[in-house]
Amino acid sequence: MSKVELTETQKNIIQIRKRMNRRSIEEEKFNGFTKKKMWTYLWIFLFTPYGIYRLFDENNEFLYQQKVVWLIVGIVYIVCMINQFIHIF
Amino acid sequence: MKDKLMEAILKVAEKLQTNRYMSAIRNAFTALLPITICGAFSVLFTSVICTPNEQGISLANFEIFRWLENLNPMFDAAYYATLNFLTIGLVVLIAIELGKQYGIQQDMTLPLVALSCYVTLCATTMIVTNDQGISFDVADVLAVKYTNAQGLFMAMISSILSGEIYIRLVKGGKMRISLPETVPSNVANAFNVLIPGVVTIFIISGIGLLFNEVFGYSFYDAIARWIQAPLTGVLTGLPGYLLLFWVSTLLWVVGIHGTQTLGAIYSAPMLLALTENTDAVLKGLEPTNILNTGFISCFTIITGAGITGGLLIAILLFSKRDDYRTIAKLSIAPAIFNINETMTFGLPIVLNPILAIPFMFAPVISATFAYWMTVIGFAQVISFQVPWTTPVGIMGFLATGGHIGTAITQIICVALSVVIYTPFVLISNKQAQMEENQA
Repeated sequence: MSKVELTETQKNIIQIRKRMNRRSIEEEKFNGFTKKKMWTYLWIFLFTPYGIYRLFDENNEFLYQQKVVWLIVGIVYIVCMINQFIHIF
Repeated sequence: MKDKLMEAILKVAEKLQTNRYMSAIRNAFTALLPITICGAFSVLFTSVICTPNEQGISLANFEIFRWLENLNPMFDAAYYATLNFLTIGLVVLIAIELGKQYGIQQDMTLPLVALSCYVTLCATTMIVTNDQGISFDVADVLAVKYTNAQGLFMAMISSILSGEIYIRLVKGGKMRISLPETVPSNVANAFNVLIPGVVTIFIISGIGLLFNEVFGYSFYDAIARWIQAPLTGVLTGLPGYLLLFWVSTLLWVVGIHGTQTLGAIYSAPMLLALTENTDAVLKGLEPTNILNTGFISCFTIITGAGITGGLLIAILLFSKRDDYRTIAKLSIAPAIFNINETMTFGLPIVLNPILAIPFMFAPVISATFAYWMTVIGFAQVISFQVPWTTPVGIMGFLATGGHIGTAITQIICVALSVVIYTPFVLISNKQAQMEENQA
């Protein structure tokens, strides 16, 4: 089978495409919808302390930025709940 | 000539993808997605399950489920912590992402500085009008427009600006405070970033003051007027929207993840449009923004970019090519959950001159069709964000809080894409036949 020699432009195209798709794969690490993560979201709203414990548990695969932002959500949620209870009682 | 054109497209796409600000914004929005979905579900639970509603459907309408009303405070709090606090999360996330780009991801002061800078740009007094029509000032409050999706644009600009200033000052090293070696490293680090942090906050606060004094309106108002309104206008109008997603499929055709590459451009205005709809539903008003994040998932990238679910069905019905049929069969399960990489890279659609044509036009036709179905009232305006992996029909039903017409529209969109793809599947049959004859 004869090999077709690629032009410089074609080689460049292959390189750029490889670089760009490698980045897309890196961004896949952000996947926020794994089974463990979704259970953690649920626990943050059902019982926030346990949800936050799961968030920082080493066995869970949350990225640093996901931990920070969900911690903010957990804290604001707790404050809102306390506020609601104060109004009810 | 073809190669040169492709190289030019790829270079532009790469510039867009590797730009550090675009990348930080895109990643921040990706990390925010579960939060917006949780918020949307909270509103959905409140309005469709827990609140008795005489005009619409609700589980709490049944006497046996009336107790569900007691759960409303939990969902209200979840809604506030997620959708109403979205912008704060975005400020922090962009700062972290920017730090990562510069290799200082472990600097915890950076997101805090970015957050402080953002708050310095927010007015902390607001005018409230009571039932008698009397207006008065309330001091020391942060209006919800600064924490919900309305503040997204200011959050992006302020976070990038403050992050950039802070990182440059820290990396410059001239503002470090030298402490004796006996001082623990964590204490020394805190002192090293002290002056850059303070200077950054003063600069951003100064910019806010400048806008107030020179232009007569706040930084927030300036961004809302000069950037947010025009960009939102273009992208939430049908021509701008269609052009954007046509370019996205064009990138896919040359082998690039188009949806991710252009994500930074459309994420903020589209999310803003959706959260405005969610807010409207919660207040009992009619949602008005037809084109939004939910619309993208429901009608533009349903069954995957290029609406390849239509191609899959067309192949199973009409293709005589064994290779196509094998890949189509393998792709059925992922396609149900809107994943189509097996089709785009397996057939492949990428660099396939025959299948590229319907791939680029199916989303445009589907989006236009769904838009007009919404305008005439057959489908409802999408108001709730649901995970993009939700299957066709169920997604439309959930995203509108239980509207059958929208679910049917989604199914019709996939059927339309079958019609669009079919002639090209037949052409590929002929092409395969010709190649076989030549061989």
